[in-house]
Amino acid sequence: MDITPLLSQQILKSGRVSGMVFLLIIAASTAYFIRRGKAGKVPYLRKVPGLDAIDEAIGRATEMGRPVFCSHGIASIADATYGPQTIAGLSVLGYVAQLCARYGVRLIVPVRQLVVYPIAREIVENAYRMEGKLDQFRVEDIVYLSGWQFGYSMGYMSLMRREKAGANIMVGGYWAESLQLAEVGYMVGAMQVSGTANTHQIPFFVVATDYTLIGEEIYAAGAYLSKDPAMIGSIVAQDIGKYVSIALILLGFVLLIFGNDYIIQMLRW
Amino acid sequence: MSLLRRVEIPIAITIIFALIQVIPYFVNMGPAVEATQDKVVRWTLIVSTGALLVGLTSLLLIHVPRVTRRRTHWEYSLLLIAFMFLMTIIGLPFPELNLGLTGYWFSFFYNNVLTPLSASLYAILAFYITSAAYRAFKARSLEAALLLISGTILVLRNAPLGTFLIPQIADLGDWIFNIPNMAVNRAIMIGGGLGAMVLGIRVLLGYERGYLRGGE
Amino acid sequence: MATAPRIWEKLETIDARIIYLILWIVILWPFIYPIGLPVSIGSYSLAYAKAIDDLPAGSIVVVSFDFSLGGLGELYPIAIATLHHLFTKPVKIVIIAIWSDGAIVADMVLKDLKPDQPPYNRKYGEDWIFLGYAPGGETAMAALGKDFWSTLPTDYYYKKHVSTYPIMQNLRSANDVTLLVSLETGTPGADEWVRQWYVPYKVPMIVGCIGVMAPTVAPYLAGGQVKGMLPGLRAAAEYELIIGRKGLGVASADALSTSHMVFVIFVILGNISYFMRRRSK
Repeated sequence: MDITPLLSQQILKSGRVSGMVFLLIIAASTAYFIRRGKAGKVPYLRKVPGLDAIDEAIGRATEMGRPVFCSHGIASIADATYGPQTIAGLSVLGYVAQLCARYGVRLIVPVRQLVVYPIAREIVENAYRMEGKLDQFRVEDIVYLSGWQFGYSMGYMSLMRREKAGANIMVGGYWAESLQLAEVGYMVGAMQVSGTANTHQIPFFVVATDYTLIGEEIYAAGAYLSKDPAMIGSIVAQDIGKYVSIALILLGFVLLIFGNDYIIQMLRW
Repeated sequence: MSLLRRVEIPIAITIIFALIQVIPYFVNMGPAVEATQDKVVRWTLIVSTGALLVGLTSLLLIHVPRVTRRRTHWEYSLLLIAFMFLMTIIGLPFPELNLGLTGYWFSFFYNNVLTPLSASLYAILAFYITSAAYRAFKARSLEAALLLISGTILVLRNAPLGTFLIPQIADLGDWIFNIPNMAVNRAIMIGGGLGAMVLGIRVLLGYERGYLRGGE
Repeated sequence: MATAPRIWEKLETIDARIIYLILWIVILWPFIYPIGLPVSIGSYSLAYAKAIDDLPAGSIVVVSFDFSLGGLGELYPIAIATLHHLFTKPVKIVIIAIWSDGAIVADMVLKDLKPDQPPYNRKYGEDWIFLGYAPGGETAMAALGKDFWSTLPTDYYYKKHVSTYPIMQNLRSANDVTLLVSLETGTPGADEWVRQWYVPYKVPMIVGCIGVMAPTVAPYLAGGQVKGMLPGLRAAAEYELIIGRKGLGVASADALSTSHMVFVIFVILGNISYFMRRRSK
């Protein structure tokens, strides 16, 4: 395909065409598999132990009579790169809040981003409403701690110690505070489920928490927990993207061996 | 009120503003559209600033009752409220009163309170990683043993004493860092990127509603 | 015989505070009684220094402070050494911050280094300038790439319009920049600079980062977007030795050795106790 006319007429932006094509492939696959899912053709979804463990963690906290902590990371929802992690974390929060309301266990949500605060509050409030337990919803348990990263971390750690957390569920974008929170969670005896797509923090979560969702698993969490066939169907699109990536890597590798850098040039379009 | 609570409205707003950002990223749509795109980005800054009020309310909602009802550790809550207002006043842009971000008092608190606090809190990580590693870095299985060995090699590679005692550890550490580590990192990055993309598309199509009142 | 398993059990569930105390002592000790262990120099540090050494005279270098106070422990020595290296070269240096705290940290570093005074004697506004904080994270990076003047219209110290400074006459967009130095702890940082400055403008970059970020930056090194990297204190010490200016990096090298060694010893002890307890079971 020759895209030179489009670039010379300045219709498409140079350097972003390959990205756009890739996005269109993924978007089309997502739409297609959502339709398939709605039509009842639900793909097999492998078990994600970290997500299954959420029920166990909440159940355990209920038996112990201790509160459940659930946070969605420290990234702003408006952030282009890390915002999706917060959205993924909020999807998990909705599920956790519903279970907490059902079991009558106290839920504490530490918040760092002010913009996310009203969203988190509404998610929890609505979960309690849906379970018919709005009277048990405590607005003061959706806690804005601090916009300063370590102020947030310090507040979160103190809260876990003071309130003796029974479970600590952390899914979203975490940075240096990840290990601090996980280690204090361990110290207070909380069962911990963590998840982030920040590669540099995954090792800390793996070492210090009971279950860890790695990278893409957090984005699938909303679909997995919702059990909605259309949502589950959309996860297949991730695999389509992987197949395309693997094909490009292998093809690029083979062509490079023969001195041809066509794939690299193509990705620069 | 019932109209405002309908979930279709936030979904429609999300779709419109997402498309305003996405399409001009790939396609040249002229200066007018790009100016609108920039303006929408600036709106987020304004919304974030407006949200400061939400934070202030939340903090007061928690800490004022704690002080007035003399609950456990109410003294800390009082300190928090006092410092919150103090720093707000100190940050006001009145240079003639030595206030504002470049004023003496802001620098004083910044350098003498926030700097040592930040450094100390970050330094806690060194302690926590040691205790976490002591607890979890155990050769329980083949995978765990591999993790243990490669982790230890990299720790030794990072310590001058490690490379001094065993010079070969530098090359070995670099190999682990450059080959297996990089391969895994790239795989996770690609997987994460794809996951974020699909999630974004689900949001655009109105299926991902977890961030909207818990899914309904 | 019954006491043996108890010892291993006790060792395995040792109070974390004992570990913290030992670690604290071994970190502090070398600062009081330095050992002076040699530090071998790695290829990443050499590449980082070379990227600065190879700059042609008159090049414009943008140094971005993409970190806050938490990163000072590891990044302060890197920042000081990098700016020292740059101020001794005949290049133009433009200092900015993408993190709000970054501007305050940059100010601290510049006050410590005093570029206007000997041995540097570099003229503010002509040889270097500090433009302060550009709000908006990645959006600000993109905006700076397009147009410096409108994104950061005034400088940090005198609040004068950038057009009044000679150094800014040749700097309108990322196309005018020869090298970008990102000193970073996380987000926004190297990832975002690659997207906003390398992909569209092909501006070469070097990165000074905290140790934990090294695996995230590394793929860009192999990909050629990042020319050199200094991850953490060990790299700071290596770089200080390369440029011949010993500072906090070299001074901390011994503490780095002792703390890492204690870490390894604890891991070994943990494993011994684990296996002995399992065997006794």
